[in-house]
Amino acid sequence: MHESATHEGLGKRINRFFYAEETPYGLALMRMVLPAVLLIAALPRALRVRELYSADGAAAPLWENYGYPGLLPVPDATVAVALFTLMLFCMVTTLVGWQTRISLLVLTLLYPYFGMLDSASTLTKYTVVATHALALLCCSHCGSIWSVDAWLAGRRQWNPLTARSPRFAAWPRRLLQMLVGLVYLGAAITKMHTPAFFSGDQLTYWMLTESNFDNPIGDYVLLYPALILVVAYVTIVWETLFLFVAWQGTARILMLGIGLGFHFMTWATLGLIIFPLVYCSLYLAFINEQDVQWAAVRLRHLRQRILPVRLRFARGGADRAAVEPSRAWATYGIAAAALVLVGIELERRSDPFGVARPEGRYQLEPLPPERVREMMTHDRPLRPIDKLFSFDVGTTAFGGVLVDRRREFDHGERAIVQCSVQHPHEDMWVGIDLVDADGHIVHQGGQVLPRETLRTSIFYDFSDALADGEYWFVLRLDGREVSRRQIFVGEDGKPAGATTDPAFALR
Amino acid sequence: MKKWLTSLGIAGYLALLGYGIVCHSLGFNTNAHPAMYFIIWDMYCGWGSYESRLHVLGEGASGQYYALTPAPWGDFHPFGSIGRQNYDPNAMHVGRMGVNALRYTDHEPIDRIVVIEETWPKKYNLPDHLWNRRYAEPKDKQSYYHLRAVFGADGTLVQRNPLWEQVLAQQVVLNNPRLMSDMSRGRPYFVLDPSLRNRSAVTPASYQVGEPE
Repeated sequence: MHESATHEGLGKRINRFFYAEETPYGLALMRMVLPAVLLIAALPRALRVRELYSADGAAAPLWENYGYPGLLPVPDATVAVALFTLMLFCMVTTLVGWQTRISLLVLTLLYPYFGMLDSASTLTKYTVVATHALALLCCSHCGSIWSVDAWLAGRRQWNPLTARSPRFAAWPRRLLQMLVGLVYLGAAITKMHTPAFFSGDQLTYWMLTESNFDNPIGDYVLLYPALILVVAYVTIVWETLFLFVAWQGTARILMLGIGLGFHFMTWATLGLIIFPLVYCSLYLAFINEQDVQWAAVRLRHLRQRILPVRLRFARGGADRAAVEPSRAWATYGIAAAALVLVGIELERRSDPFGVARPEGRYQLEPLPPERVREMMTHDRPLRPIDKLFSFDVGTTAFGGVLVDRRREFDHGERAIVQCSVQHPHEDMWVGIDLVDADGHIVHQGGQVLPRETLRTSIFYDFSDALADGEYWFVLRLDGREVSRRQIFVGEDGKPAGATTDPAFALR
Repeated sequence: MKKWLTSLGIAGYLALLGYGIVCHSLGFNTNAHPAMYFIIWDMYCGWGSYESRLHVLGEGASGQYYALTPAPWGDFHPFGSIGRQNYDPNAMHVGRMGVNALRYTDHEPIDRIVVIEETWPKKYNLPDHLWNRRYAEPKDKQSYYHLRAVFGADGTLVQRNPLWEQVLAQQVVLNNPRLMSDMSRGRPYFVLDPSLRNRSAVTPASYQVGEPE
């Protein structure tokens, strides 16, 4: 009896979770923001449709990567331009909420199609996330408020405190929330599959790459390995927890706040732009009716405080008359067709490959012989210096990674001398010597660095037998010196004016 | 009825997402179909310590080489400052990019399209002022070149080689005399005799069986 009651309770809770009626404020906001974000990525590609997406250019279909040639058709240039223009039109109409359902349906079909046509430079995981979001928005009533559709229907809609807002089941918003959490869970699993994530190496190399847009601080963050490690662990804990706790109360605010910070940092350190914007637009699914009413009350107070009485205006009290649906449809269809025709003609006139230029087609210029010689010298052996990533001296390691870099030591202290190498590498002997200022070897050591390991450390105790003064740790790879680090031992050995907080400066 | 259908749709969608998570976790069927790309969340699953660029060259009948990327009408930079061909790490589509440049330009007859991979350690991407704070050594960047793929002038694949980092990883493992000996022992091999062109050109030449312990 007790068990069946529990089941009934669970069933009711699930029913309330998915089918409670609400005004879809969050989804309406997402409907406005997401297409605007997608337009940022789509507009530069609009000038390259023939090249990127058509059989008259160099499409890069995803299905060929998976061994399914011919799975979907690759359109010719005119069809590609027509469909791409239609997609842009639907992004704008979705944004303003004009024929929202049909616009979203067209977007849900065309957006991933163009992504798949160009797996090299259009399709990314943000394309996939956005496709899911568009499909779920398509099932929702996100166009029922704050939209041209609602205006055409004659509904008074702008102020959440006074509007006559329609209410619908919450399940599309719930599925979007679960999508966000499941994507984070998948991302956490990816990180669990990547041991180099937990040593910070993966993040380090991603911050160094030039494959993404420029970033303002990525290169600087590299100088602080401790920060990278802490962020790595916080990220994976947050990604794992998100799905389970980001539903209500303080946990919701905390999870979403960390998420905003996380996505901001993916721009600041990795140079991602569209992905964080897409994801932040998905966060709008976490906005509920109470949030909107809370914001509306505060906005009203703000307006009453800021605007003088004579400038305050009340919105119309009565609903307008609705526009006839058939006329709205016809206008929409004519606008879409006209824009498509304009797009086709503009693209034809733009002559993207320069075949109709007055001076004739482009000519290929031969490469200089010395450049050809350089590029045709294949697979040269690596220089030892190119096997090395970093060689540092410090005292504290976290997760096996040296997190402080020092050059001044006192007697009795223990130094960690760490060598990090590039991946992949052979089994290596890493020789590390301590040399005094005159070049005499004071101590000779080293370790085997197996191929599956990226770094090795040796510990060195500065005993009282060591005279105060300047020393060098010298790194040898392949039997040759590739790097050296200067240190100072003892009070008398410290150079005048030396910084006590070298942080990362070793010179 | 409508609510039942909706519930079915909700359950189906969540099952689909769940299937993606399970496949991703267990490494099961992840590359079975292009649709899997839409349910597997493996963002930034890979990483490399070398920066890489692809150069697509046309080899003319005269022996001259021509750069087909960037195309004469300009490169497309999808995610930053580097050209589109660099986002095709598996060299699946660069041949078509080369063919496209040939199709719309004037040039001598082209024999083949050659794709060269240029790589260098990513540490050299650090700007000079940060390099000087991070490293004591002078910044001495050197590129390494590797033949990635060869296509016919019509884009037909002739040869595709692994990524340079994969080649390095293979060399690391294969640089082992015992392993090489194991690989060659007990393995049949064949020689091709050009004089037998009109008959079976494949002739078994040796078959060595490992001796029992």
